[in-house]
Amino acid sequence: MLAISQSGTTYHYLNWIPSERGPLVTQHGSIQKEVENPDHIDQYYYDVLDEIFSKVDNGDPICTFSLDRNHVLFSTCFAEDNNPELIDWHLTQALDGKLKEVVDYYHYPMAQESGKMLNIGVPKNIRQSFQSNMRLLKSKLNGISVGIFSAETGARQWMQADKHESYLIWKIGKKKMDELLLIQNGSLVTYFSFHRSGKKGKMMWQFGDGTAANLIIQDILKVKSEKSTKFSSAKQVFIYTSDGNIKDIKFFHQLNLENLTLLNPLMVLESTENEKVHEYNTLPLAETGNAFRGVDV
Amino acid sequence: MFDLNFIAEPGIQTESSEASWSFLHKRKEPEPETAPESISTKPNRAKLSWKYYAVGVIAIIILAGIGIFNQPKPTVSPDMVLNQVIDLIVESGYMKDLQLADAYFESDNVRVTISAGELSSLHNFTRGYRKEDKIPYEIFRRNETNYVSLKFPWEGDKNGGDIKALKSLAAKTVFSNKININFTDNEFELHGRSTDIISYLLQMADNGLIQKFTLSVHHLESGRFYLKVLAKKA
Repeated sequence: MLAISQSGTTYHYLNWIPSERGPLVTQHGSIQKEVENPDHIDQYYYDVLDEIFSKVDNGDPICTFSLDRNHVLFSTCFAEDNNPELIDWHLTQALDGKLKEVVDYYHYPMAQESGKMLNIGVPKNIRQSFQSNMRLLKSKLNGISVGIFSAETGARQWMQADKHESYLIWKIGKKKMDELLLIQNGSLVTYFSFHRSGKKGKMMWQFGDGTAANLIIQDILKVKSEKSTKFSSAKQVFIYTSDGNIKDIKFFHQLNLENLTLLNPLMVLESTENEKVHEYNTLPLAETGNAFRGVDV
Repeated sequence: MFDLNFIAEPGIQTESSEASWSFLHKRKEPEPETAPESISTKPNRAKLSWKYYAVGVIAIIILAGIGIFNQPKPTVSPDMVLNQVIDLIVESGYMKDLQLADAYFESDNVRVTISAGELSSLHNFTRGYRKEDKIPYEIFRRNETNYVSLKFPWEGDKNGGDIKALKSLAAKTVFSNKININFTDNEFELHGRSTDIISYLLQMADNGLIQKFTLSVHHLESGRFYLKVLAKKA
């Protein structure tokens, strides 16, 4: 099984095989591919997939893909009592008709108290390009996810994150532009971006419970200024980066906070090679998590 | 917590989806049967006993007899033919010289025409696996462009199909943002990119509709594709 995740124009891949002791990693790495012509996105993804397939020694190419979040659209809408008719009405009000012609919308329930749904818009041409590329490459695609949501699946599968009453997925971003996802009692509470600059930082955008997001920001500011040795807004925090921002990751990791863990699949999964895993450099593999959906690790 | 899977049908997602797109079966499709090669190694006849020699001669006579009296007809496999046509549409996007010109799905055959600037491109094309498929073809030249026309066997339903099924299928198909659909009581037209046409043809095949209609695919000068489906058989 080949798991691929996209971060800008960098593609990280992790290949694994099932074994009696759980998934066994056989290969991992990354490739770089610039977009030459945005009108030919199908050709672009074909080149990416073909190059990665050729690097990985697999019988039948079966893969999963995690998109960069910049390729999808996020929004929320009201969803009282999960009534489909009411949800449809809200969507008609909230979503642009023209946009719906080119974007496929997926709606996911957030924590019940919020009475909201998270909408994710995926461009039709991206979905379509994957379908035709799978045909062309005679391959199988087992799932498409996106960024931090794929990492969240990984946290559940690799590190049993869902055993905690609440957990936070923290993606350290370029130029201190972080993304965070809070899960409580198995439900999505808030998804937001925080610019970790200056004394107070700044919330860039936010979906779901704004109060919960503000508490997390307070927590981050406290641990950053070493006024606290643990996060109180979530029972466990899983931190990673996919942009190579290792300096910031090291800073927080070396604070030795009580409930902060690196979200690195290679620290958990067994490997065929007895290589020494670099715990920070391989963190981008966190977003290959959707490949492990439903897999016993 | 929900799991995302954008392969699933869009809309409200209540449970995790196991949806996938698999074309692994294309790897396992048997290679086209090729005519048995003539003896490629020359055994040292001096070392063969006369018995083996006689058995060999008789076997050749029997095989030749089977070959004369039992000429195999090309078998009609709609999936194989559709895969060939779709591959040609896909290849049109990647090959510089070879381009699909048009494909007509009629009641007893599918006629696919491919154009090329260089005649040698068509020769190379027909020398390859197409020739081994025993698919009849003709090469011709028109307006300084070279063409090869291939005729695949096909079994269409002579009764035709319902245009409403095509309309509802279009609503379910994932298209790009550059499509144009027109339909009347008897015709369905789709202008779009190659991937749009492929997606729709695959949906037709998945829903058992591809053999019900007379349809044609045209590669336009703009680079876009045009699919025309007739409800009634011609």
